[in-house]
Amino acid sequence: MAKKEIEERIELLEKLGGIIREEARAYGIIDAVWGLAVFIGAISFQVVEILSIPWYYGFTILIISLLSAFISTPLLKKRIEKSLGYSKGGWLSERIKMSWLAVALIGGTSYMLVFWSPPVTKVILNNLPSAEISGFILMGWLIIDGIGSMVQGIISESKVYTIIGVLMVGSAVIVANIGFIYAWSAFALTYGLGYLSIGLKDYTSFKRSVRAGVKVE
Amino acid sequence: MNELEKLAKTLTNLDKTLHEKTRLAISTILFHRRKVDFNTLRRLLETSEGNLATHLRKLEQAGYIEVEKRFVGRKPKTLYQLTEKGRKAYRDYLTNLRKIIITEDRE
Repeated sequence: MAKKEIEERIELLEKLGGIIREEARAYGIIDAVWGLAVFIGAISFQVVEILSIPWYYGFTILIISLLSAFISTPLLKKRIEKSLGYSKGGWLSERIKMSWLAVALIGGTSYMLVFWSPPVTKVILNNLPSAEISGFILMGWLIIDGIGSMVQGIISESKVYTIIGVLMVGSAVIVANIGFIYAWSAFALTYGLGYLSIGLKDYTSFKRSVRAGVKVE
Repeated sequence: MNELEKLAKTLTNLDKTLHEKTRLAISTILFHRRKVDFNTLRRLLETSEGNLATHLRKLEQAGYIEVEKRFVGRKPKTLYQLTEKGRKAYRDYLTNLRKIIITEDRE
């Protein structure tokens, strides 16, 4: 078998890999929507906490923004899939999905179970002012979701997601030292702005790209 | 077994069904995207309908892909996806290709 034959196949795999990666950027719009929802929701909650407005105002805005992202996700997915002709469901997406499930669902559930256990709850309620409790809970989520983002970055070989993850975990350390109340701002500025900007960047790049195929014959 | 013999063995072990360029390209797309329709494959591979259909049939005969026909509105749509056997064959093919590259780099 000629060396040229092998080289041709490698070249083909590289070209196709490039096209597949470029087209996957269309899904950036979904990341952007989630980033925006988290940013609006978390910043609103931060304002509510700082101004000592009743918590349910912030909670309502947070729920509305997250619900909007949740509802628009399948609609956007359907639109992207219609335009591309396929769904983003290959091995890489599966691995990312599974890693998020492991980190956020298993890690997050365990965290909340520990948090709501009677001895831990007692310690927290006895020592923290009520305004800081939500920030204290969120600090744990900064670490959990930060690890999730880092894992996503490692699996997908994306530096940006890894950096967002590092920033999230790092911001949890800062929040722990300056005040739990600022966890909302930390979440909005790291996850929210991070996913919003990378999502928009990816989507813009997809929109600008020339959608050509690879001639294999 | 020396390096050269190992290389020769790896070369003969390369899956002939997947080694053909169009079929390799189809499998690569299906490996990264779960279900892909006929027209999208045509767009991505810039090939004729007849040629694409022939290679898809060969992959189907090898048990590497499965076909799903459905209607979107009133239009029929044919979707293709890799079977578990196809997924494994593709992974093995890439592993063998990698071995060849490593061996060639060493020489």
